[in-house]
Amino acid sequence: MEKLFPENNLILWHKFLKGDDHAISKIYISYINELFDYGCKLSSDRDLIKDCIQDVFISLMKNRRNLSESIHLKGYLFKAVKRKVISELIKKRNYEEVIQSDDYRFEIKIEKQIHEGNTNDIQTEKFVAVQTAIDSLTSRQKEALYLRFYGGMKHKEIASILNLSIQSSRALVSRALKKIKELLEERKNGLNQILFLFFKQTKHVL
Amino acid sequence: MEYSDYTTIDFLNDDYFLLWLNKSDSDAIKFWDGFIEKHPEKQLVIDEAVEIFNFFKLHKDKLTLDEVFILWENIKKSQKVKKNLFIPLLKYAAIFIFVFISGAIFYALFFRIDETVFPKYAEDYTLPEEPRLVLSDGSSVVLDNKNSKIEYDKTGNQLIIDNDTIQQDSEPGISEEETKINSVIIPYGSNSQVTLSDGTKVWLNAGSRLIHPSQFTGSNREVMLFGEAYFDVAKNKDKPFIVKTNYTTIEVLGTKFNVFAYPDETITGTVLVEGSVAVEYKKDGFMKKVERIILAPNQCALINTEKGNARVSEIDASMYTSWKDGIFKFELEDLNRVLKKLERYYNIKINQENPFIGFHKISGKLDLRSSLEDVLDIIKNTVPIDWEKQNNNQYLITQKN
Repeated sequence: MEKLFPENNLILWHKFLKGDDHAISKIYISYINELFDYGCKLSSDRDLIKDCIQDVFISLMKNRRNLSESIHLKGYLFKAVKRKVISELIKKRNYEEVIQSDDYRFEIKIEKQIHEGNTNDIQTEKFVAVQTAIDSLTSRQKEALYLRFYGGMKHKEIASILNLSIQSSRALVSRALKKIKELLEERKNGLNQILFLFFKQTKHVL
Repeated sequence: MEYSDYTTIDFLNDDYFLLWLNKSDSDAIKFWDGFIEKHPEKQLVIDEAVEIFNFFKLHKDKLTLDEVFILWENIKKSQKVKKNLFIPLLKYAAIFIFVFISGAIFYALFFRIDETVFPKYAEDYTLPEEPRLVLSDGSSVVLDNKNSKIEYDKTGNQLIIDNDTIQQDSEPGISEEETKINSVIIPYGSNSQVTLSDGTKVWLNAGSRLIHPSQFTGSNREVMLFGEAYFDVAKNKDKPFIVKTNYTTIEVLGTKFNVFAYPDETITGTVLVEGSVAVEYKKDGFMKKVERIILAPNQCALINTEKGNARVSEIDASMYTSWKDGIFKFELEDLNRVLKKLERYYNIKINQENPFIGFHKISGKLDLRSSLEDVLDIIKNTVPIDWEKQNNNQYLITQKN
């Protein structure tokens, strides 16, 4: 719903800044699931993510007089949640997930698609291929792709969240996509090679 | 670079193309659909871009509805000075019960973002037998007087109800600053005059309910009204006074006006006597926009709550506000409407022998301190009708020949 009427959420933001608490509750409802999902890519500790989101909203309400009117609301909220989660993980010295503020783990899992017409084997193969390709990317590349194709964000927002220039954001997304394409090609070729060898063998036998 | 030279990755990196992928902007959708038609040679490349885009249908990490709700409760709890949270408090109390009863219905209600945050009280708008003041701790004080008077002192802690004084004590565990939300509920047959802690005077007509804080903390002075009330708002430039009804929000700085918003009527309206008010309401249509009408004195904003349209008329404000002094004034008003007002004021039911009687137009003045029988006699002398008492609370109007 947010995707269809992003302007409405900015109106809510302005109302919130003027003192309307109903507006911030609507904003919360609008983004809570996306913020939680994003947080879970940074850490598997659900309670930690919940606490961080809570702190972000509490802080918004406390500091509303100092907040800017013209922002990209979704990007702003994502960045705030990320900042909080990373700082908490650093405090906890959870080195498995975070080493420092610009060096942390980002994990994404794709959902198996059910397409009619394709057999189960082809589905699974595709699923495994794509997941493997994504797993081979760096955390930063994964995060960039997540924000762009799952979060629907433009380069300006991605750059802000990742602390990059817009140009660097483009380059990052570009490199990540190239890598995925290459890996998928390789895998396809690899399969073809196996099938080819197999047929070659059987011909010989005959 | 020209779009026609774009590779798959160029498309995926283009912010405008992203809007088409997400189907989130109608201009973008039109543009790219057109582009694809005009450049069939790019179809393969674009298909590949779409395919890669579709990889990112990810597994969702979600919160349960309970978790979403409890998280928000925690956020609110941390607010020390509660601003306009009393209405959401009511809503959340009701919805908490809903969650445990039916998660699915809760989801449907709660997640419609452009729906008003206020629950539609119309569905359970039941009036009690006697007029009451319901306090924030749940206890209620019955108002013995048919025309009761309630007065708050400046702190909001002391109340004078007719001749009795009530002290609102803080509950253990709740901070001093927590706003106490009270309701005055006036059934048919009574009315009340309430003086709020800021000095604002509110005359409540029969069949009305005023939900208000005992003290106005925060940046606004906000109350919620069902039914009809006349407001004489104490001037405060820094704290706008806001009246919320089911369909409208009326914002004032210091002024006199009348609001009628009966849940069982289609038309809701605001009449301005003096000063300046802004009336906000939701205009129905594809994108439920919020419209704002600024009224000048002797103007009336009428809103059709079913159709969502509004009209501003120049009127004689005293016609709409004289009820607070116990006088009904009307000019070429439908007899129907006059009888309806009498029903509310006296708490009786008036039946009509045939539907055409109600369309007689009637002008004049009725002193409501008289008995209903006297009032009906006056009407009988003005309009060709006759009346008779059917039983305890029912009257019948017939056509006179």
